[in-house]
Amino acid sequence: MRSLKARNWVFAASLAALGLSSSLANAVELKIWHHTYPPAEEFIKKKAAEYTKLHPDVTFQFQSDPHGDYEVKLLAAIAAGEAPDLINVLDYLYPKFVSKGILAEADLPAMGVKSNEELEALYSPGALKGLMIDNKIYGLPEELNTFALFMNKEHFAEAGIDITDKANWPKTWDDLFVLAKKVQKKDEAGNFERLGFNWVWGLDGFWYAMEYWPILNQYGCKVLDDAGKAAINSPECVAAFTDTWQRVVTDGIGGPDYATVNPVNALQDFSDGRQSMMMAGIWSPPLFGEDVKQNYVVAPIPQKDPANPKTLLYNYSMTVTAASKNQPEAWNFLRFLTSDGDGYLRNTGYVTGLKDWEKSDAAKDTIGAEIFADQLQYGSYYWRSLTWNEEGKAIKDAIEQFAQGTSVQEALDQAAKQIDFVRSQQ
Amino acid sequence: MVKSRKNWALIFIAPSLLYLALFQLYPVLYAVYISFHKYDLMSPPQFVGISNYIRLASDEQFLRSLWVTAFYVFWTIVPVIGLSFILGGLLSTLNRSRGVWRVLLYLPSILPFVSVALVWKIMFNQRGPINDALNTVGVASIPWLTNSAYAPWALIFMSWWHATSYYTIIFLAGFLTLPRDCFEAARLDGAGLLQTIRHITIPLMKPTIVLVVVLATVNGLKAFVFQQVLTDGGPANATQILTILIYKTAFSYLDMGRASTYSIVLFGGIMALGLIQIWLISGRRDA
Amino acid sequence: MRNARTERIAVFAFLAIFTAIALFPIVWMLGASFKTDKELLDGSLWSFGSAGISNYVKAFSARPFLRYLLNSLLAAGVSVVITVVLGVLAGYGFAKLRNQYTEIIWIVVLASIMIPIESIVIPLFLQVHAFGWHDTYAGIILPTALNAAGIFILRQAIQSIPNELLEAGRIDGASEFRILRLIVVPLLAPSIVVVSVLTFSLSWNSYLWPLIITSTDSLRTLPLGMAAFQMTLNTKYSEIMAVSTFGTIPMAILFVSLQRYFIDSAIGSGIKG
Repeated sequence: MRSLKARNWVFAASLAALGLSSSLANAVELKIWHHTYPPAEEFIKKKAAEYTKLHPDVTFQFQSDPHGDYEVKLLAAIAAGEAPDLINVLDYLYPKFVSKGILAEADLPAMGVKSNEELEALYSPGALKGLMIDNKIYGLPEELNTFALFMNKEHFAEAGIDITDKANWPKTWDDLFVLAKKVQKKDEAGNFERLGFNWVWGLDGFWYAMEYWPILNQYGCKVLDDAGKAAINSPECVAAFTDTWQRVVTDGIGGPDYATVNPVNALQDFSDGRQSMMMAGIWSPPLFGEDVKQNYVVAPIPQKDPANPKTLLYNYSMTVTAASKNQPEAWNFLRFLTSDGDGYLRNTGYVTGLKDWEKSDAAKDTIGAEIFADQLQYGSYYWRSLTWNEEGKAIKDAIEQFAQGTSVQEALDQAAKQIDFVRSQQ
Repeated sequence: MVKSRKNWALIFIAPSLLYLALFQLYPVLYAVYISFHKYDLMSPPQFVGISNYIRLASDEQFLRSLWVTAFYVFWTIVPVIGLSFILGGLLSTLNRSRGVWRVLLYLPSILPFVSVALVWKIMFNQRGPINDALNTVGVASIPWLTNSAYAPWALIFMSWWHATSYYTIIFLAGFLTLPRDCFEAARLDGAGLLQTIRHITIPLMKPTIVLVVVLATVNGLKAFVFQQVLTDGGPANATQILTILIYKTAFSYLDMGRASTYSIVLFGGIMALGLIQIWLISGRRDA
Repeated sequence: MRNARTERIAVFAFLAIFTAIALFPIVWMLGASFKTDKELLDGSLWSFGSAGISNYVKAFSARPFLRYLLNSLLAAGVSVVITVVLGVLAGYGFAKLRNQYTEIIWIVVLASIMIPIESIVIPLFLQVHAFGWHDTYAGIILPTALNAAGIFILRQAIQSIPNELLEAGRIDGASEFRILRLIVVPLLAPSIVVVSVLTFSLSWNSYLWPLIITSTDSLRTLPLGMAAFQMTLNTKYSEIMAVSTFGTIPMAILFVSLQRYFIDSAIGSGIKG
């Protein structure tokens, strides 16, 4: 009797131990953090549910915060040892995040590839470049992007211009500003009823950079020289900002005073039909108002030298944290998620940058997809720096200053001084 | 008996003391400690001596921010004190209707700060109601939040609206404690209104005036939400008060050492003003 | 006599102007929450909106504002309880059982009133995370729950209670706890309400601390939810106004029911010193 009892006990204990160890090995909950963008949230949740069907022991927890709060909270959570497994990070933060040991190097076997080259071959040329440091890959693109020019067809028709005709697209910045003046509308008192064109205003440094970075490249302006000193006040940079950003203000085309700014929705004026042209990414149309949604045309951004185009390239990527205890599962899921390029483009407007994405059916159904695909090849990533946030802020401050009448040279001198100060403290 | 009562005192006070020590004093000391280090939240702090403090002298963001803070604090106090003084004084002369006015004037103070900030942000919009009102009287629209010349004032105007309501009530309470006979006597002596105010009201109200000045200063230095929501410190840092700079330095630039150094400066400033307040209050009690 | 009447009219006119200024943004907010965005920006100040309650519906379907409300109420409630209980105890100690130690500790209380949360938010964050309270209710509520100004007000109130009342109790052999409970607390009722109201509004406005310490959406308090909502791409102004109005309702209810104490609390935070 006693021995039976003992045997039962042993049996039960070993069963429990088995159960425990198997649950330790398999049951995994992956925490995903993403910046707030409802279509992407829904899509990722849907893909996560599909993944759980295939791997019943992997479940997900999803959280999103708006762009500004998102990074603050992410850093706080990582510092507190509460890092999520999968996070959404802009490419310009990679140098900083990798140097602080926040990101995990890509687990190639977990993604079913043998080498970096094999993974890169799955993507458009250069798509992974912004996510690599010292030849190591730290993330996968979720949103590979460049900016294009969005134009309101109806506004141009009113001004007697058929903007669906490529011949009428602005090739140079000069063309753009001339068009802007033609299409803008003022009331008798001289107040704007409708802007022709405007830059983004009142947003963070990253937003500003999306619009000035291609221009700086076109003018041969560098934020930092090869020795790591600030070069943002060089003659090339002064010319770049004078001919484009400041000109919008001095020519009375637009400027901060005319923008209806809501700190995150930079596109509000275009979306509501109060502005005829703007620069934005392929993700923007879902945000347009109903009238504008039916009426827009996508063109390449203007160039200084149209024969030698230069554009922006950025990558709002997904990656795995070094603190994650489930890195192989996280990478495996990430590969699963981002390999559905068609689904991403259809549901969220994001281009995941997989090879030949522009030939897919989803791309054919997306207005301007061929423009984005073409422009991506001329793109370059932002300058790399450990103190990008402070440097981007310094340039943003300079822009806001010369928009109010300070000379471009003076404003950029100050930015250069601030950038050098920040870098000298590192 | 007395001895045991002394022990009782400590027993009664201990829970609060522990609480404050844990969540207020200790963090202050910790902030001092971090201010002597280079610290990015991810790797262990590195001791750097007083270099964070030395650096303040050449840190233009910080110096600019100090000036912006001082400007904001000064202008949030100046007209508000006068206006709330007058409103409080007028309210104290009323009898039956005082309660109603008091409630209506106090309403702005009960709105959540974030609501207040959001409402004003839209009211200050280029196409918002404030510019509409200006346009109807023939004044051109003002770029309230997008121009460095106007943005600090937009925040100051808003703070007037918000603070007048609160300080009016404090002044009213002060006025109600004043002895009536002083004024009667002055009136019998044939003193004019301005003379009465200058020679009788203001001296009698001095403690309340001092109190409001100090409260307004401390509240001005502690401001954060309004700037964060309306301008995020912009344009071109025109509204980047110290609390905003601390927040950005800590959580956007990940430089905890520098952020803590700024914090110590802010804390020092507030403590100095606080000590003045304590000194004034206790001085008043002795009098 | 005529002079007094014109004077009176002038006073009313002056008050009316400033009351109108005080009320305008509130009325405008309420009106805007029932407009569409186009109506809101077209300059028609006094027309009624055609949006009905659609802005409210949209805001509530975008974010769990009721949950945020409950979180805010919980945080404010706990803060009130902690401040009142600890504040009455400490206030009695400071007011009626003074000795050389309490005088020194009093300085700590006064200093605590002055400490801006912005200047200690980083160390406090590190400390609270060391407690394992990151992203928990305890982490959101407890570190800022005790309102030192509450101790200050309660001490002032207890000081005005005549010593003879307490001595009578002591002669009867009552312990200090009994004296506090049976003699002091009943006399303190108005001040306790004042402190509660003050602590409640402080907690209701608390922004920076909960922002940093929470990551989970369901732990967010109302101000955070409101701010996050306005930072979300494609949020409409009119929806923001709906949310702002909603955030005001609980305070308005509290204000209407406890009006006298609210005003005393404004006064109490200073004048009673």
